[in-house]
Amino acid sequence: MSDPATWLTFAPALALAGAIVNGVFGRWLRAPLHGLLASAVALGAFALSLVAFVALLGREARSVAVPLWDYLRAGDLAVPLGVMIDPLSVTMMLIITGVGSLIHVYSIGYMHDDPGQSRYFALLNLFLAAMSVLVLADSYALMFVGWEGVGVASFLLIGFWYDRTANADAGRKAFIVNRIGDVGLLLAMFLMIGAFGTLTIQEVNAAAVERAFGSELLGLIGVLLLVGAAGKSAQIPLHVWLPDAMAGPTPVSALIHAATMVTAGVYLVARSAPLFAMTPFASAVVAWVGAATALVAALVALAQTDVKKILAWSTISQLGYMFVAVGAGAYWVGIFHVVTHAFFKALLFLGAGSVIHALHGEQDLRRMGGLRRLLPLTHATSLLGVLAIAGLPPLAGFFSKDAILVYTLTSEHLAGYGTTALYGVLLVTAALTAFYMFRWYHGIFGGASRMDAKVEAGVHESPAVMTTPLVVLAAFSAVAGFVGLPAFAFPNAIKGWLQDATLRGLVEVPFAHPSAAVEWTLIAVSVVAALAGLAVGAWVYARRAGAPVRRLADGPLATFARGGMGVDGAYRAVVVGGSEGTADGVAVLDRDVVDRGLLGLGSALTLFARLAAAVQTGFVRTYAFAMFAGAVVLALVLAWTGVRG
Amino acid sequence: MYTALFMLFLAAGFIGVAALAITFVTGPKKTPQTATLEAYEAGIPAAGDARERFPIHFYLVAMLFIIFDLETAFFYPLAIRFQEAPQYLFWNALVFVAILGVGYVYVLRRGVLDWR
Amino acid sequence: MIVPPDGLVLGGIAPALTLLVAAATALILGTVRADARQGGAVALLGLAAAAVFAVRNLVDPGAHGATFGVQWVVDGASAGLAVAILVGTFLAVLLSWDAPVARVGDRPEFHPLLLLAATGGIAMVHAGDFVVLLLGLEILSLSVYALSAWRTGVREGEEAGMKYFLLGAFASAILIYGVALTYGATGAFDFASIGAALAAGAPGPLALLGGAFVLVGLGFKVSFAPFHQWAPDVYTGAPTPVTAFMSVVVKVAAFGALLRVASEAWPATVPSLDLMLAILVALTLVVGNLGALLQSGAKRMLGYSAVAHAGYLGLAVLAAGQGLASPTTVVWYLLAYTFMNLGAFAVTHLVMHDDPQGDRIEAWQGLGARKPGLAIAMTLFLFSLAGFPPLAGFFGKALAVRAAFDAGWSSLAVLALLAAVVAVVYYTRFVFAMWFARAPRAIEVAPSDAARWAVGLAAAGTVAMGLFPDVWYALVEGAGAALALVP
Repeated sequence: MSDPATWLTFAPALALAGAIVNGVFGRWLRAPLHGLLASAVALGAFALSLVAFVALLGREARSVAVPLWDYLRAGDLAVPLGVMIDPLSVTMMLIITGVGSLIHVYSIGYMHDDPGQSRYFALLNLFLAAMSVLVLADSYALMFVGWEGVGVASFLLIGFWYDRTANADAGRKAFIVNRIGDVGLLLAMFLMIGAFGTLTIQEVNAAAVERAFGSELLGLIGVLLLVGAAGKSAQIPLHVWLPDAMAGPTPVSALIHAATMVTAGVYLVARSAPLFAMTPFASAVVAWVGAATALVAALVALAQTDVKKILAWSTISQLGYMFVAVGAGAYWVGIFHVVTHAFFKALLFLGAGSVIHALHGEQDLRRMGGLRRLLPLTHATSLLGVLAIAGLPPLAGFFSKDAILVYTLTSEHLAGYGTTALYGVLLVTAALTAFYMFRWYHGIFGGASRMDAKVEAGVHESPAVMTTPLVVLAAFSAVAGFVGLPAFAFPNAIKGWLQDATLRGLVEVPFAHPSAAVEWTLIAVSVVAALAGLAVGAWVYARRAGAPVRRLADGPLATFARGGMGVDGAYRAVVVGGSEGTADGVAVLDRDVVDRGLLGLGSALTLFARLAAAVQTGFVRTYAFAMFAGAVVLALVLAWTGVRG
Repeated sequence: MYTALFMLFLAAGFIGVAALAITFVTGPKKTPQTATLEAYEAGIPAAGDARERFPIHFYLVAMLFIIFDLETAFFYPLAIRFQEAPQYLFWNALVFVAILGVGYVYVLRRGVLDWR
Repeated sequence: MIVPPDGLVLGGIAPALTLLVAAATALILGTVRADARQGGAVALLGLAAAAVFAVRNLVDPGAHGATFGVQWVVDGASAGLAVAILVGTFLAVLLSWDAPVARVGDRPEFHPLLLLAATGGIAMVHAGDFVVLLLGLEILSLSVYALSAWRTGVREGEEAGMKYFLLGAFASAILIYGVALTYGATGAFDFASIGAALAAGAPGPLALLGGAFVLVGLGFKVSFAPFHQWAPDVYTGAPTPVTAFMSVVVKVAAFGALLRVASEAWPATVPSLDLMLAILVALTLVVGNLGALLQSGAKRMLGYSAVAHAGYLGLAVLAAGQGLASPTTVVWYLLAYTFMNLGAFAVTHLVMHDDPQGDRIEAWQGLGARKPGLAIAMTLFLFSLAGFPPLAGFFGKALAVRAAFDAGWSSLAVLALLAAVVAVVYYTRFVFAMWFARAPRAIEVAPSDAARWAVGLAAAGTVAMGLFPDVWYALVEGAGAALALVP
């Protein structure tokens, strides 16, 4: 432990200790102390991450493994558990603990009068601990522990105000959908043990590149990992839980459901980069799932009226971008967007939280407006966040989004899987993003007030404990992109930093290298798309006060989009069978998931199950006959193999 | 070497035939009664409805008899080769009897042999 | 040969002898004074003492080798499985401590029968020839037949006992027929000689048919499909503590025997036998998992789940039998299975609380809010059975799948993985009911501290085996679990 980089190993323990202190002794602490303690813990973890970052910067070999525990040695199967400190995990840790610290501090103000503060901050620290385990783990087994840990923390925080039915239902939904994702991850792990005899991430990667390029096994593992990643990162068709998860406190939405936990899927793919680099098929599936999610979520976001729901759909959409990036083989770009997105999306959520806080819980865009003057600081920072997510240079979102677009178009890894179409989808989504984010901004801050006079009279800017994090995040949203300038013409710091940590020099992912003129053109195209989105938004909402879309907004199309493009409805139709049975989760799961079949493809399974039950007559004679028949079949097998030698 | 066995068969056959012959010669010649003509099956009436219920005691006692009868049967080979390892076989037999003894005590105390 | 060449070495057989003495003591005491506690206490003492001997065999197997001139094999696999049987029986005794099955005053045979069944099971896992195997099998089976019909006057209970007895007798007959055929073909009862004879030349149809029948007979006891149909019915009809007992102890014993037969008596040069086993495993995985999907009662669901787990264990046995994977995999899985499955039944027993319908999924609703401790334990058991890390079941399944891949049965391994997906659904249903549904009524659980101890110990075992899997693995492996393989 003389190496300062390895100190980061203690970050999960530190966060866990904070969680335990707040959880067990919280009731004897006075109100601000819970938050101060939890924030101190988060800042401590951030300090450890910074130390590791600085320590790794100055060296050649930037990968430090800290073995912790020989979990199992069974013959040739060994599962050691340990921590992997390398640029990838340190980058994630910096975001998790950095943005996490700001959100902890912000929460002190946001939750100041909530009686359940000690529970809240204990859970927040617990989340930090689990997320650190997830990111630092050097094996899929340990990562799965963190994976489940963040799931539990998220589930408990979504349902934090558990006395409201909607919150409990939202938590329940997140639980179900995430189990589906878990099964994918679980199967991938079983396959890895079976095929490679190891769960250590780097050993799996090394074993994967030994296999034939594009082999079916790697493709299968890749797709299973994607199922896990899609569950956690809310990708189609497992995205339905994230909008509902907005029922939790807003800082939770900012931390867990925007900046950190939902990016775990992207991290998982980036961590397994060599494996994905060996299987274009699985990579293409990742990219197309991401692209579809990006577009659909952006369309849905157009029609939402809840300030947090818009941001939630926007998060899903942006996560889609990240999936396209890691699918295209540009793993560092995916993580780059994770970083920039963490800043501006946390900023937007905290800004929304500040507005909601000021309006005493109002979340409907249609009852806001004109808050520009009343909440000047929130307004300024939020505007910066909107411009950043819209992709306006030189803000952070521009660089990462542009990199995704360029690398998608030039990916030779996905050659034959429609890179141009992917590019087109993302470009349209970029314009849509700028449009709906302007709508969000204008609906809250611009135009005239649509608030009750009584509410309006009580509006006040949030205290410094809440606005300071906003300012810090705004600053990072403005400048964070400069670490990843377009590599063809400028120095790019983050590419070299992350490239080795993802691909580990095991395998190369090919990209076409267009001329500088083409690169400049592509940049221009993405800037134009963003500007066009903003301009149309400004024309529709600021200039014409929403008149051009008014007919549309009340039409069936908008209703369709508002309901999440009917995905929830489709699930309900398949799973719940038309009845509004959501009130009783068990009855739904019991009667409908099982009887009506698992995710719609279960009818065949159910048929078999019914067949099995039909043979189960309860009569001894049937059973004895089955035994006899089995014996005869075995004898026949024997005769058959005997004949064939 | 099979002379003894042959003699055994001969003796068995003789006893069987002799028993029948002696009864035939010395016994009274009377018209047989119905009961005499019936097949004898462990004391259970052989005629009538087959689904009749009868005391389970019959079977319990019969099974116990077989078990303890077999006990004796097991001792024969032991006795014949006893001299080869007297110590070992003695304890062996004792353990065997002890196990059966546990069963006997159990049966006795549970009242299986009390004919109610 | 009257006196064995190694004289009277009782070490290897000591666990079985101890249990026998305990059973006899409990039986006689029971006739003197009808008190269930007394029988249970004797049983616990006897089991603890037997466990000491079994662990000694495990730690130092060489010192207490084959004894009595019979083929009583003491190695890592047999000693490890004996420990699993003793653990399972111990927990079952705790579970039944306050249960009505043990409380019936005029029937003190309950605990002696449990102990005798365990004795038979221990004989089966130590068996080195078919004679000891059959002896153990019958001791075990006859005791369990009686136990499964323990609820006299209850239709389901009597039906369960009768069904199990008739089918079991049928299976035993087939098994004995198979043994006879094998003897006819090879002239030997002990596994090593049979294996050598079969490996010597191409085995004739007689030997192969013998192998098939042995597989059917043992397949019944481990509940391979299509010989599994008794399992859900009998599991449902028998008293829950008995179900808990038989679901683990019978399975451990029968798999121990199957492992031994598959790896010693059936040489890897005879692929037909492996193919038959593979077919049964595939069928078992499908039938067990799909069957469990539609069940709404916990006992019945766990009955099918037991069938499904037989499929995973069969996978490991298949690989180990070919000498391509370590038999320790099977031994490890079986102890893990003992903890989690017995634990699940233990919670079910408490929740049912004398209500025959009390295991239906509705009865589990709201358990999380009313009895969080029990609900957490049940969640642990079900997630472990489903194979979630870091619980014991995860490594059981992982090791089995790994073994299948190693042995080249990758298609079976993939089938096992697909089956695992289905398994997550039917286990999670009950987890859901416990945590996410509102209780329709006040939940009363059976008041029994001993049964709570059983739940707690099983939960501790499930977690400990998940967190420290290599402790048990190293112990078994260190004792030389690698069975003597016939070249």
